[in-house]
Amino acid sequence: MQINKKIIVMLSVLSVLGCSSKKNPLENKIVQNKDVIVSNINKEDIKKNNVVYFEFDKYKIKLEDIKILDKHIEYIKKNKKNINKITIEGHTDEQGTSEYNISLGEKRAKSVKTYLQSKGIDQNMIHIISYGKEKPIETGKNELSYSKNRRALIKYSE
Amino acid sequence: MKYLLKSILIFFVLYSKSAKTEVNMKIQNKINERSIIIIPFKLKGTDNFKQNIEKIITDDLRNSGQFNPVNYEIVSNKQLKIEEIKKKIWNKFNTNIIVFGEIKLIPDNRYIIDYQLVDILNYPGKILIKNKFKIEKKWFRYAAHNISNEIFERLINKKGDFCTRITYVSRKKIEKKFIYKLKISDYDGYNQYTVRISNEPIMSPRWSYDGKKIAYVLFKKNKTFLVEQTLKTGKIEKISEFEGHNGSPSFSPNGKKIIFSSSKSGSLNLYLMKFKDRKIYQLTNNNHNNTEANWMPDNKTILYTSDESGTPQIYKMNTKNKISERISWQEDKNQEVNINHNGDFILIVNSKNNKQRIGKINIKNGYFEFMTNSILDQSPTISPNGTMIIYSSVEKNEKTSLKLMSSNKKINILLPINKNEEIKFPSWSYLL
Repeated sequence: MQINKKIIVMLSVLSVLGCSSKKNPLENKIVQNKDVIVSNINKEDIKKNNVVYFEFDKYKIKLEDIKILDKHIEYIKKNKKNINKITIEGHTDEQGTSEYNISLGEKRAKSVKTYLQSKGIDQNMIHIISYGKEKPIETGKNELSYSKNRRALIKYSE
Repeated sequence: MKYLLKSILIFFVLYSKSAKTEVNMKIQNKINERSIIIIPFKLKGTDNFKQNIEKIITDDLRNSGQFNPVNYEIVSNKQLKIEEIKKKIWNKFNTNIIVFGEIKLIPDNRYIIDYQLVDILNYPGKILIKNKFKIEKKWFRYAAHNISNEIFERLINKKGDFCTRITYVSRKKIEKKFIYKLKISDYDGYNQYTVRISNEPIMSPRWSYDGKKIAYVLFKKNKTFLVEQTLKTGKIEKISEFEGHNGSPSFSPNGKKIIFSSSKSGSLNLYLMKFKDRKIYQLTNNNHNNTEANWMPDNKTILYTSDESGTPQIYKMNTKNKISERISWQEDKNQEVNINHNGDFILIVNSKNNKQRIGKINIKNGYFEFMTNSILDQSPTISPNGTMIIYSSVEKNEKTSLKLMSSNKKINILLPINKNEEIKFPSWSYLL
């Protein structure tokens, strides 16, 4: 089971890496989008678009969220001197128990950290923390609220 | 009051002679139901007395699931003669156990509470308890709970839990930000007070055995800390501040050790700290998540959640030799175990088919039953004598609140704690 888990983690990292480097029609679209975004990159945009969402009980980054992370990577590289620390918060929905959910939040934060690292961001700059289900964005007890709470956030301290 | 008792007894002599067979039949019913009549206490020289002592005693006894107490409103709708009261009791409520007493205001805002528990079945009746308290006004509810304890102990032969307390965490949103409060109240939700306020989450408070300290998880500046706070002085000591999460504390029943989880190794593992030298020992060492540990009464065995089988399940470990085995087999997930203080049953949180319910496992025979039937129940905590359970549950207004239920499932009530806040992480004290 341990080996299986490791393989799953490796595959998810590889799939994340693969999505951003291989040339396929979908990838071209992403690169095009990214180019547009990068040209407009600014601090306000970065602050507003700092969340990626996850499926229930999952910690794999969704393909459509890669462009958000790529935008942050560009921002970090351009502003390296001004950024002291990058904090990635992992959160879960309200299903499950509080202490156990901490582990899922941590895995989500780690997924983002791993992607950032894979794109050349110094891991010493990155700090992760899991809030589990203790800081929801929506407090409703329904799938719509749950889906908004299954998230990871990137925050900067200068 | 003496006259009252005398009258009841005299009446009973006459009554019992003429209807002996009928009385005997009634006794059988009564013993099974444990019905008890609580007659309104007489007030002597009191000020505008708002507290209702018979309601507190009635609620306590009912909450335990062991009694069918008959409350004030049913018994005393008008001034009746003793014979009439007696007749009413026998004809309607079918019981021979009666509580009555009086409350007297004395100088310096103090009260004298005087009460008796009487079995009126056999001539000349039997005084089971006769007691008197002199108390300050602020201890009124405590004195009422103490009467409940004495009645419970006399009739059930177990120590009562009604003077115990709970700790929990409340969360309220004010201008887009949460305020978290660590609170303590009586077991029934009254006499709340705040121990700590924070803008960041507070998690998993747990009582020390002597009731003097609470250990809890604190988030601060993107880090977590596991701390213990002495309630009397407010003094806070750190237990762990490892990189990553520090959580899920549980004091051993003998107070010598505390177990907790930390993710410093990359996944949640269990650690143990001995208070004598504050040295920390690692109990689990793997890539899975091991957390939510609790002690068995032997101070050696722990039960905890681990996902080493692929889904979270309950495991048992001997902390001396670190040998563990899985003990939960219900579908799908089983988490957050809580152990009855004498170790005869455990409660778990079971998740299956979009339901998250509290389940009970009998340790001796492995029998499993669901205690609740809701979507987001969690954090079950058991009263010291095992008769009551408090857990957090989501209500129709979508707020998380605390519910109290009896272990025999007869009673399930919402605790009267602020309805504008989300209330989580209840933890029941030991006997105080």
